[in-house]
Amino acid sequence: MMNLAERAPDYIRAIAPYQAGKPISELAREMGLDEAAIVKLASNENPLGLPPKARAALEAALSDLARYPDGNGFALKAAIAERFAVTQDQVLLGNGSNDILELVARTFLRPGDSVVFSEYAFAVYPLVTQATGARAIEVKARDYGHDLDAMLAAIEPSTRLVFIANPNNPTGTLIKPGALLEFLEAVPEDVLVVLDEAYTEYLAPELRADVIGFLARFPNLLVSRTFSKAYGLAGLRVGFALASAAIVGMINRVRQPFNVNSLAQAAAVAALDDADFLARAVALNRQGMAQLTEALARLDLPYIPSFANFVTFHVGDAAALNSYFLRHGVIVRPLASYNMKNSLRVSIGLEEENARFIEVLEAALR
Amino acid sequence: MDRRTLLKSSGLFMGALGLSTLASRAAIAAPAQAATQGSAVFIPSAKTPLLLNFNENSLGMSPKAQAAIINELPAAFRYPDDARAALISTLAKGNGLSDKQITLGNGSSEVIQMAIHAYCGKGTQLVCPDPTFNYAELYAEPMGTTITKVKLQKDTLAIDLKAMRAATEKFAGVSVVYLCNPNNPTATITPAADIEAWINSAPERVFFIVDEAYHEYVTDPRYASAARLVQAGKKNLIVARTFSKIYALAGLRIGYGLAAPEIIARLDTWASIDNTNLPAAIAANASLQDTAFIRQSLSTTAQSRKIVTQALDELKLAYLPSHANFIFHRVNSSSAAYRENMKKLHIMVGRPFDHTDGWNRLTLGTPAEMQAFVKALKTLRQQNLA
Repeated sequence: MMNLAERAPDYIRAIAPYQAGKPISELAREMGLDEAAIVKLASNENPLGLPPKARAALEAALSDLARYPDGNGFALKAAIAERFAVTQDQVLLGNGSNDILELVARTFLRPGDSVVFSEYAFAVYPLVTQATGARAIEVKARDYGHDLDAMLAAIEPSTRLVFIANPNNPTGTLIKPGALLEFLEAVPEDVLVVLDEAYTEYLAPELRADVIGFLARFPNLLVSRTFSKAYGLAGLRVGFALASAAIVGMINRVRQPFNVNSLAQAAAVAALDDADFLARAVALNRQGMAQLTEALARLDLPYIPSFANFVTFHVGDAAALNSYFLRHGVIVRPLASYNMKNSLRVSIGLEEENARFIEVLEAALR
Repeated sequence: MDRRTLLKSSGLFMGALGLSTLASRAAIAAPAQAATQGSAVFIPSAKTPLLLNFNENSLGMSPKAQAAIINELPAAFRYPDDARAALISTLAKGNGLSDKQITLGNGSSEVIQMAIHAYCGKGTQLVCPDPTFNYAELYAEPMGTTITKVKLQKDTLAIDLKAMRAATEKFAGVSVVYLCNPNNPTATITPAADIEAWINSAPERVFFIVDEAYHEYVTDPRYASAARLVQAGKKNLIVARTFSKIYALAGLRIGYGLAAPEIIARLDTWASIDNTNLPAAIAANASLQDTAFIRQSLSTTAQSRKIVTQALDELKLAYLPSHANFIFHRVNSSSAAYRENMKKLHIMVGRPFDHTDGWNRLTLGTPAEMQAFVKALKTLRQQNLA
């Protein structure tokens, strides 16, 4: 008789689970290393840690955790709405922005639909597409970034969603505001464009698209953001999306009633208000990016110019270099699952963490 | 009907029963706990209402869990993979299972959602008691699943397993059976022998979600966790548990599921990546090891149950045997009027459940809180309102 697990649709059984960056404790166990000596530059986390204001808010929120969270996320939605000059019914909260991406897929996709995204774009786009039984249309990248003309041409009558990561993970490439606007003007109105801006805070102001202005013009646009990167709250799991009230209302129908925990809500409100921390995070990232890319250039390792908090570089045998890094207590991100077997992605850390990465890299190449 | 239309048509239902009623309590939630802790007398007021409506643990979390969170807060800028792995390992050992037989959820509600997404849809059936905790239905309904609700038995309000089983036998496609044990809102148990007999003999096309949110409170020997069926290698069920009840971590959102490795692998494709946050995983792990806190929660709940049942006996209000941190009892008015009258005294009790007008679900808080409740109940009785 057919096992129940085998009744899962083929498109579910075909999913290869997402591979996260290797945890520090796991490496310590595997290699017999001291956890404190390990440098983790694998998951694009914020090396400054928590924003001080978020830390204070977390401690204040600790006494009330036996009660269920505010399922409507009133305070956080109000803070986001005020910061981005949208109405509260245009704000959707997620258990990390990954939850947002899944909710969008679950709300708008069914078997027979198709989804357009770029080669080398964030791994979760094909995962959520597959999970709903929709068909992925992966468009070849141009210089490791989105080829918007080709993506536009790839849209079919069955296409319901287009995912765009800007800046893109894992390549760090950027779509300029003008090109993005032209794309939005050309996309059919019945196709939802999901603009994933997980790394947007790292951009210089002149490189940032006026997405709030775009939202007013394009009812088929959803902008996804996260508190896991520049805001330093990856462990708390909170992200949000901005879109038309109609789109947000529809997605709220499939959202879990209590999807964002109380600590995350409190910390996110405080983090939005911690301008000083954000400025320090962005400045540190700029310095770290210079430190790393100078070293890569000096070592003749080609890299993809990045606008985010990581940089992807090319080496002959990335798997061998990766295991050398691991043996020496440095965790970076291999990209074989992105079909980039000769590349590694390194997150930008503190100055001394970057220096350790460079030191091990130099030793490996010697 | 396409999926968008389907979502639209189900939206009112979801909105009315799901998001709005569950979420609207937020405005009144915050101040109660500080007033509750450490005081012998609890005086409900507009500023410190008494919250006996969501089956939360009024004691607050284990001190060890709180210390563990504070200790790990500086690491909250990292993704929670390490803490999740450690919790899975503790849960596996504690339940006599392997790591591959555990999944974590953003609350046990996400575990239920994962199972519904994996097994339900058009051409399938969800069979659930009526009334019961309604999330399985909330998730299954918009997917086009046939929902078959089986009324509780007339006098005992026990789950009618025979009628539920008959519903699965009449349906040719896949049936998902949702069993809440102890059941919510009645706090009654379904004997392990009956559940096991069915799960052991059910045809392949029937899958069981056994929701054991209140498992830790049960002392009755007729009860046993369905986890022992998972231990025995059964592949047609998942057991859902939560840290929101006895462990007092409702605000952190963490629950887990126990099932065969291939079931867990299948469900995990429906779980959001990193679905449980770092403080939740840290606190859950510490809570599991704080046996003193669990003993304290059990003993205060037993004291509170006694305070309430004595008063109900005195006032001649019938109640069902309570095997959880809440009790289902009669009121001498409509349930809605009773809730409103209690609310005027700054006490939040119950919420609406189908087919049970004249009954109320009451959370068992601390003994001091229950004394305040009894005082209010007697006040209402003097006014002929309860």
